Amino acid sequence: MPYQRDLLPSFAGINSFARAPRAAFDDIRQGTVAVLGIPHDGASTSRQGVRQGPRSIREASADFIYDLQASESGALVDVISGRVLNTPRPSALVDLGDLQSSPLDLQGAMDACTDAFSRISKSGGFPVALGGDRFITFPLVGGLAEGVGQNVGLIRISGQLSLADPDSPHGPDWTGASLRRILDADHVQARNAVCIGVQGYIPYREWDYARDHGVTVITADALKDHGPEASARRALELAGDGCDAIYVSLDIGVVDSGYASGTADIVVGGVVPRDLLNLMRALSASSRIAALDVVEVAPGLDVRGRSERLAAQAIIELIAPRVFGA
Amino acid sequence: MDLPRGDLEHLRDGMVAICGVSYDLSCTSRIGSRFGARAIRDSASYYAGAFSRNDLVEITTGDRMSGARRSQILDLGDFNAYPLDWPRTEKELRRSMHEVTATGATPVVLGGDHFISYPLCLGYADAVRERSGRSIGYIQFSSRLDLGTSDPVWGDVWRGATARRILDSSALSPKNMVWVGVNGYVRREEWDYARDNNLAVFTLADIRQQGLQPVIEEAMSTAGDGCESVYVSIDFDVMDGGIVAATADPCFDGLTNVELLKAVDILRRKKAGALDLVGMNPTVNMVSATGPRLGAWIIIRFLAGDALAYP
Repeated sequence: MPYQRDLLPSFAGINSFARAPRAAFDDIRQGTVAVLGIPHDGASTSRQGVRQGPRSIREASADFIYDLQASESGALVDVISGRVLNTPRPSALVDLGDLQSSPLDLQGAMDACTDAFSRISKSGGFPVALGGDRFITFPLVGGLAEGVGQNVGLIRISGQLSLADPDSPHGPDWTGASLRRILDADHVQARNAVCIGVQGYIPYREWDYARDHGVTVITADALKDHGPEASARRALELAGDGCDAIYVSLDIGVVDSGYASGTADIVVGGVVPRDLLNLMRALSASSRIAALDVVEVAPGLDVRGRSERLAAQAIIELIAPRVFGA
Repeated sequence: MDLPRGDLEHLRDGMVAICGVSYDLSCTSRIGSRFGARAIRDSASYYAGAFSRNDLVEITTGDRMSGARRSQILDLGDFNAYPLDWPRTEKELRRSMHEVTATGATPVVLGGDHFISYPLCLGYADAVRERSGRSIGYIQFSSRLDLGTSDPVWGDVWRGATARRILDSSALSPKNMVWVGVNGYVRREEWDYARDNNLAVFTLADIRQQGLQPVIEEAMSTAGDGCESVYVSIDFDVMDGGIVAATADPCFDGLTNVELLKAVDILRRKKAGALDLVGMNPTVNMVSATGPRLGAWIIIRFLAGDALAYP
C-alpha cells in the first residue's frame, strides 16, 4: 500500500495508467485488465519519439481519472452519450509497468511482447499495451493467439494498411509490414482482419493485397459516412466470424493531424476525435474483445499534449465495461 | 489593443472597462491562466495598428468599427488578487466589479481561471441591484457544469464549483442561470443536480441538433427573463481542443472558433451587460498565438456593436 492516506491532486504521485495500482504478472486474475508499457521504437522508419508513448499516456490519464476519484457520487457521466463510469473495484485495473526491451534488440523485444500477452491472456487477464511503434502489434497478436490457443480476429484502427511485402526496401521487420506479418504467420485469417480509418495514398501492392486476400477495409471516409456505431457492428461481425477472441489495435496516427499531431505520420482528412471515441465505445460492448494496443503516440511531436490525452481517453472508452462498470 | 489606460474616475456611463484578473490557483490541473490577461492584451495589440489608421469592417457580419471610438474603452489594468489568500481575493474581486459597474460602464474581464467568475458575477449583481433594484441572469459557456460543492483535494476554492457558488449565493434566481456547450464526462452528482433542479443546460448535442443561433437566443431570453441584465462567462474549454488547445484540459469536441464568435455576436446584439473570458492558458502551447488571438478577437467582436461601432 502506498503511504498516502488521502487523494492526491492529478499532477502528484507515482505515474501509472489511470492511477491503477502497480502489479506483477502473478497478480493477474480472471477479468483483470492489465496495462503494460512497451516503449519500443526499433521498427519505426518515420518521425521518432514513440518510445516516450507509454509514460505520456499514463500521465495524460491522470487529470481525467482524478475527476472520477474526487467525485462525490463515485461516478462520471458523459452528458451526450449518457455513458456512466463508476469507481472500479480494487484490482479490476492494474499497471504492470514497462516491458524489458532494448530498441537495438528487435527479436528480444518481439519475444518479450509475445510472452507477455500470452501470459496475461492465459491468466484470464485482458492485456492493454501502451506502445511503442505499430510493429509491436505483430508479436502481441501472436501472444494473444498463443494465450487463447486459436486464431484471433483483428480490428486495426489505423490510417495505414501495413501490408508491405517482406521483400520491400525496409525488409520484413518494420512498421509498414506489421499486418502482413500477422497474416503470414497465420495468427489471424485475412477474412477476420478489419482495417478501419485507412486514408490517403497507400502503396498499390498493399491495396491489391487487401482486396485479393479478403482483408476488409473501412476507409476514414466510410467511417464518417456510415458512422462509428454501424462501422463497429460490421467490424465485430467480420473479425469475430469463427473467432472467440478479437484483438483491437489503435494507431493514434489514424486521427487527423489537426487534432493529434503527436505521431509519426501526418494525416490530412483523418478521423476526428469524436468519431474515434464513439467507435471505441461501440466496440467496447462486445465481450469478444480480448486485448488492446495503442501505438504510435509520440508526445514530443505534439506541443499541446493532446495526442496522448486522446489515446488515454480511447483506452478508457474501450475498457469501460470491464473496469468502470459502464 | 493599445487602449487608453484609465482609472475608475475616468469611466462614464456607456463606456467599456477592460479589467484583468491574474489568478489561477483554483484550477486543478495545468495552471497558467494567470498569464491569460496579459497574453490577450499582447495579442490584441496586433489589431491596434489597423484601428489607429483605419476603420475596420468585419466582413462576415458587416460590422463597421471606428478607430476613433477607441476612447470609449478604458483598460483599468488588473484587479488585485492575492494568490495565497482566496477569501481576500474573493472580497476584492467582488468589490472591484461592483465599483466598476456602478460607473455605468460595461465590464469586460480577462481571466484567470473560471472560479473568479463567482465573485465577479456577484459584484456585478450587487451594482445592478443597487442601481435598478432588479436582478441579473448568468450564462456560462463551458464544457463543464461547475455545479460541484467541494473537492476532496481543493476544498471550497475550486473552479468546478463556480456556478454552484453563484447559485447557492441566492443573488440570482436559478431560473436565470444557463449552461451552454456542455460535453464529455462530468461528475454524476453535478449532472443529477442539474436535472433534479431543472436547470437550463444546453449540451453540445443540443446545439448541433437545434442550431447555434436558436440555442443562444433561447439562452439569452431565459437568462434575461425578468432581469435587468445578463452576465456572460466564457470558459475557453468550451472550444474544440483541436482548434484551440490553450486551456488546462482541452476537450475532444466542442464549439469551433467560428461558432463561438457567432455566439458572441448574438450575445452583444441581445445586450449582454458584462463579459468575462476565463480558462485561457497561453503556457500550454507557447508556440502558437491562436488562443490569445482568438481571445482578443472575441473581445473585439463583443465590442463591435457597442463601443467600437459607428455612432
